[in-house]
Amino acid sequence: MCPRFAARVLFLLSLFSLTALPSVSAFAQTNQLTGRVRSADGLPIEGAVAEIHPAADSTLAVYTLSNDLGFFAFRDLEPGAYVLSVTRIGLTEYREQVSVEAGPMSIEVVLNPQAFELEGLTIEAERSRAKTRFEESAGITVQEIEAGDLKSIPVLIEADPLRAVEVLPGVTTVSDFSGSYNVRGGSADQNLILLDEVPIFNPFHLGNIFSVFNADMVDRVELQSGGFPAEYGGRVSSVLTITSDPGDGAFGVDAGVSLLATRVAVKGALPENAAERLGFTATRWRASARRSYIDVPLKPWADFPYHLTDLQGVFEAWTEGGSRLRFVGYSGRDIVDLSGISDTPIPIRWWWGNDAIGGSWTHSMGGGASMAVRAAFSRFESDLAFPEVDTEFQTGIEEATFRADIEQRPAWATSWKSGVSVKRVAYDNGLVGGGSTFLDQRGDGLEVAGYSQAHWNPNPGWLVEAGVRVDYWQPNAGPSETTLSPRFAVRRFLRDRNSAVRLAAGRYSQFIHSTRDEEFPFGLDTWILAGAEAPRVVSDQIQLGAESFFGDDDRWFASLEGYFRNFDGVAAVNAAEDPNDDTDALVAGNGDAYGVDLFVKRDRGATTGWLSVSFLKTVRSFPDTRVGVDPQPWITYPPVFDRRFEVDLSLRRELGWWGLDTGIRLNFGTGLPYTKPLGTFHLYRTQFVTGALGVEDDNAVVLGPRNGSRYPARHRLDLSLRKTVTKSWGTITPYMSIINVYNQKNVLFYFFDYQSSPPTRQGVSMIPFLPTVGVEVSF
Amino acid sequence: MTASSRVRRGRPRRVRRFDPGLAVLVALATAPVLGGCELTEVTVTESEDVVIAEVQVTIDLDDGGATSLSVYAYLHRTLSGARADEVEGAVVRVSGASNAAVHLEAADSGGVCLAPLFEEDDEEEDDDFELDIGSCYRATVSPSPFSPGETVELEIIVPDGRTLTGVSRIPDAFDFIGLTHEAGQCRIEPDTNYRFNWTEAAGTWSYLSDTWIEGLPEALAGQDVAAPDSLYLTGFAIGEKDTDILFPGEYGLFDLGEGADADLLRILDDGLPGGASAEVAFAATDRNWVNWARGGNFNPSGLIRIPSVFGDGTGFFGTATQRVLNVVSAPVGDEAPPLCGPAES
Repeated sequence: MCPRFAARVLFLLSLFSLTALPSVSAFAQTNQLTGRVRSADGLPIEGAVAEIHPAADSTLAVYTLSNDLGFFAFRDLEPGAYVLSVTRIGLTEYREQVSVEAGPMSIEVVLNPQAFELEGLTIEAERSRAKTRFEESAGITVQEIEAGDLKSIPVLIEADPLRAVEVLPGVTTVSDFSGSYNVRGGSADQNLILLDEVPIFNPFHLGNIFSVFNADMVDRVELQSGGFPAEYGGRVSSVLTITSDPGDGAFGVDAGVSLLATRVAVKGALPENAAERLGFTATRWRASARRSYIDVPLKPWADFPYHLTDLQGVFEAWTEGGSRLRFVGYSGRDIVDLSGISDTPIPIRWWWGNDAIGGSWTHSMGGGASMAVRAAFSRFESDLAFPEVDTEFQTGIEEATFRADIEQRPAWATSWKSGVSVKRVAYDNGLVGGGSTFLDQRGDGLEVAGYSQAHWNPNPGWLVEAGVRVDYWQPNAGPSETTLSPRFAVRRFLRDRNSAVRLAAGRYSQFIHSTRDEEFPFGLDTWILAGAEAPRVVSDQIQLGAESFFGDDDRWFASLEGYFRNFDGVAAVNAAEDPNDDTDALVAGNGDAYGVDLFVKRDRGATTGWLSVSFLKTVRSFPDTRVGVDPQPWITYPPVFDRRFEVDLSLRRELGWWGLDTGIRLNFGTGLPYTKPLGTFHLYRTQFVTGALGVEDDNAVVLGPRNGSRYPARHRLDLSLRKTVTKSWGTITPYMSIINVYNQKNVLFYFFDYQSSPPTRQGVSMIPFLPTVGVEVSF
Repeated sequence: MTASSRVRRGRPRRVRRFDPGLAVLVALATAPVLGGCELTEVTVTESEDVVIAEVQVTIDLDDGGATSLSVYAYLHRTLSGARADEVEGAVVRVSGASNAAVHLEAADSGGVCLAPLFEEDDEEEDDDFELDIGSCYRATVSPSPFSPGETVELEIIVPDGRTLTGVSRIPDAFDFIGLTHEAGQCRIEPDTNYRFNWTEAAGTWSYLSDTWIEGLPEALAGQDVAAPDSLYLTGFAIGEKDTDILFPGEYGLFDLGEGADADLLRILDDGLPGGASAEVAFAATDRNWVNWARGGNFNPSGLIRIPSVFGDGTGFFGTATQRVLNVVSAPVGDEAPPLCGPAES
């Protein structure tokens, strides 16, 4: 380790430790009441409302919400008699008179279940998280889709956590055939996708069409699209977190068959004596397996050349002290093998897939403080072989991360969160054929980051967050980079804290790029790290918004948010790369984006759902790699995901007379840009051995202004119907999903044929009217 | 990078560009689309009239240090049913940093700008396929007025006043290493490969080696493999420092279906069959040639080429230095040329 690097690591560690110190002294000086809310079987309860008021005056009540470890805290209380109540819908109320004296005191709260509709519980859990974020986060923009909504959103063939984010504000997709998405003008490679705490690269099956995430394993999907506090790093555009559902500890099975695959998920808990021996008061786990099946029944007659498999698991255990141990794992493969099929036009063998594992230990400390330690490893590999021509294209990326965070509450109105992380990333991309190496990119890098952020409630009307993050990046080739990223957010509560306006600003950085040509809306990402071959991305962002809960029982939520982002160091494939230069595979550019997102959600009532309306304008500026001169001139153009206006309406309603759960999605979006060809010409090819041109029957195109034309607006209506039948042994749920109900031919590509007379334009559309069916069982 | 191969007779066949990810993903991802998602065909406006200039400057090197220059410019236009494709009457001039200049003269395309590849095959005749659609300009000068490493400029003025320009630096000269030959001829043992090595040529982006192999049907008589009378194959060495290639084993990499089927290429992997012969060119090519040959980003309407001709048109202005050899596959004999060098399996 070089001295300079060691010094930076020490600096980060000292930053981490210094931010922890103030709380130690403050801790001992306050009159505080902390509590932990748990269920009867020992699991923590998040989002319970804890309220305390002097016994003599109930009008002076203050309240807070329990965190994900079940903790809540009241500080700076005057000594005296108080009444403490803790409530959570679906659970019995806790109410006790407590005597607060000088110094800290702690209370254990156990809430027991009461008879309540299960669906209501689910909604309430989601509402609690939304309300908690509203109350306790100043700037971050988060949209959440919980498991129930996930299955009712109509999607292609089977519920898909990744495709579901298409319906959220600020999210743009360019093709029905690709699960890649863009958020608020960011490139697709600027989205961090996490399975719990573990990053997943290229999380797609079947050539980018389906995500690798099994919906039966998912508790919720959260898209963080802006205003990230200092603890977030690694990507500049968005963070999508797929949170696994470890179940409730009771044994159960969820299984399903779709037109694509069969799947099964099993949940349960460790035997009590085993859990006790390990020191746990409660455990729960869930594991799933999925496989496409079309190749199996066809086996006697034909070798179907494709199948996918994936395995996923999550385990969670709790100690008596309220600490949590959690593991998550995933492994999946797609295999395409056409090499054994006679007369195949593309004799290939191709496999790709992910392996990921992560573990975390969240240690519960006094006063609601906690410390979390996480380790994760994730890799993606792909190998595409053309055996007949001795050619192979392979790509791979892997990342190992260790991270520690500590959160403290030195005073009632203040909390601190600090952390450090160390990450090693490596990639290896190669194309070798017939003795020639056409592509040989490999490298690795070490990222060390530290952050500290303060969270301050000066009074009930204001919430302020301020923090700083330092990212140090050391690639194996190229210069080291240090990015200092300040973050700030402020929220002003209005209407009894049911409404708020907020402002968030910050700097974000990332050190990884995909070399996939975004103008080709299919395919897998091929990753490359910042360093000699690619720049780092630095993005400054600001957003201003207003949001409110309203209506009976706060059943409505609405937010309106405007934003501006710039991106320095975005990368594009350099089609004119010099084979003698190992560092110019990508060209660095910049861009910016601004827009407005409106989100209206109704989560109670016969009809629930949300409306997303997004306006976006984004541009990119790059050296024009399509001009073979040096230096390349710069051009500015809208990228292919510059959809200026988009509306998504997602509704869910139970039709009482049939017991049908219906989901509807209506989408409208203005046209995406494309580069129109001005003409086509015959291609010839130099033959040096004859000193003349050879003739081919391919044509090439002369291009017009880059992305200077736009496809027509797109619109589509999707529908899903689910019918759950309860049997003595469990439930069975047949479902049907119809994509593109009225068969709108939304344009995927135009093909211009200038050789015909008169010249014509043809094209292909995206997914036509497509009904699919499936069935799920649970017991 | 691309490669091509072609048989001498029969109509031209499609040459595939090799992009593995693209090829497979297009096939997989568009499969659902092709099942009935075609959009209605609509008439659009005429294409723009753009002049395409394909200009190649090549300096032939020989062991005695003599050089000769060959320049051709093939001018054509974007395709249209409503206008001619030729660009007659153009003034084409290539000038060097040393103030030397070469003016190209109009010539018949066939066999001059376009390789004389095709003997009509009645069964495959395709009246709709027009090969020679442009106008040919050519100059041959010996010794070359331009030197390897020199920067040269192109100027084309077409009769309607449009002007096209380009600039290129000619790659440096190179020499073979360890090669034995006599008057440009050498021999390899039947069914063996020989690895050609050469010195680095500064300014080279890619070494292209292409060859016409003759006599394969006779050489492979009795074997169950289809071989054309003449087979065109290409091989690449990428970058200035990649200075070797195995002949013929590393040729024809991406040419399946272009006259060379998989079985034939597998035979050539093991060496050139006895009795066959080949004319082989080794060219150090410049940036402009590579950019035009390998293509650019994706566009659904057709391939994209990165131009090096600018102004009132587009195209490429490529330069190269090259050496040409004749290689025969034969056992040692009185009339056989010297062995190129030790065989490599």
